[in-house]
Amino acid sequence: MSVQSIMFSEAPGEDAFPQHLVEPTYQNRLRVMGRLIDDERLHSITLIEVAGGFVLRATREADPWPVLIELDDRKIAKMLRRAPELRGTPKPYRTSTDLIPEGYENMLRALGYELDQRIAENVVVAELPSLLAVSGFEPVLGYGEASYRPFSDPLAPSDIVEMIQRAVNRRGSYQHIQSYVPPNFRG
Amino acid sequence: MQYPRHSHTYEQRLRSIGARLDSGGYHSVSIIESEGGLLVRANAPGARTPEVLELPDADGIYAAQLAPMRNGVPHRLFPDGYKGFLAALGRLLDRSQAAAIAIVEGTDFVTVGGIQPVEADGAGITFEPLDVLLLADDVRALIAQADALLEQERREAELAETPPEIANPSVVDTLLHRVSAAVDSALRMITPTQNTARTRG
Repeated sequence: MSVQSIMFSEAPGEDAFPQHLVEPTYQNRLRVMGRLIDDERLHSITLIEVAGGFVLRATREADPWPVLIELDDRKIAKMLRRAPELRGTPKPYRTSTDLIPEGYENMLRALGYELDQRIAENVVVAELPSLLAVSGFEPVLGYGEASYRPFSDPLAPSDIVEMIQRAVNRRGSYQHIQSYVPPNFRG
Repeated sequence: MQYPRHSHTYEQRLRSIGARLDSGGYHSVSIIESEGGLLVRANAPGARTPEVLELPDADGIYAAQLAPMRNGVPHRLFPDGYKGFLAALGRLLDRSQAAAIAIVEGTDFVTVGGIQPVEADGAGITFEPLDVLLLADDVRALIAQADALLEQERREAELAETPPEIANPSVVDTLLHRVSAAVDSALRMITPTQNTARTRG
């Protein structure tokens, strides 16, 4: 499988449908899942990418027993289509901890961007009280076809703050987004 | 929302899964528990796309897998393979009465999530999160701790099978003293009768 499936989206104009927000990049997919997590007031998440979507394990307020939510590609695609409407709307609730300072949507969007940049796939995000463990596979480019190797990043609160800050710095200077589109989303 | 209680222990279930992972040469494993069972995501050797293995909570499945199990395959993070690590982890999870577990393997760490019961002051039992990050040294320490626990449980089981008066030397001494006294007393009672019988004969 080639990893050169790079798409370039147009910068959104005033009236244009913001296509870049609905592309199934990690940035967008993790962002809408983060919004769901914020809206449902979930926390302590484990997010596992599986064939056809994600499995989200998380805990609700006042109930220590975790819930498991299956987010298949179709459901995520619907969430992505709704994303432009929700953009900028106030959130009823947003987690604020050392690890998740401005809610899951912000954090996961920033993380998703970085995962897109490294052309990651099959990622797992596990939240512990004091760190976020991010694992997945990334390409090792050689002479021939790319091979993939596993990677893991334990992110401390300071790493997450820096990651979000990088995302904030990117805002307002929208450029063409390099987005790796997973094979199951290709037309 | 409480998950249904399973008839097999975590040790049994995780050992079984570990043996299966070892035998298939899987890596990059994630395991999460739902109400319906354990969901296992793992990569087969050379495969980029992980496989998902859903193990429903049916008694027969685990029992069948428990029977013939090969030894664990050494792994960079788990010296005894997945089987050894997961069985050890399961033993400790059972001991702490954990539930709703999640295990995620990274390249050089493992995260373990779940909940465990704790006694709250005046509020009975409540559940608290169990979140652990294990590095390679922690994994080795965990396996050693689980082995020590197994040894302790074996000793406790042996003691439980032994009659209590033998298990405790002071009880044995007391018992021997009582038996000795009872024998003396019986002999004193029997001896005149025997003499009488002899006289009558």
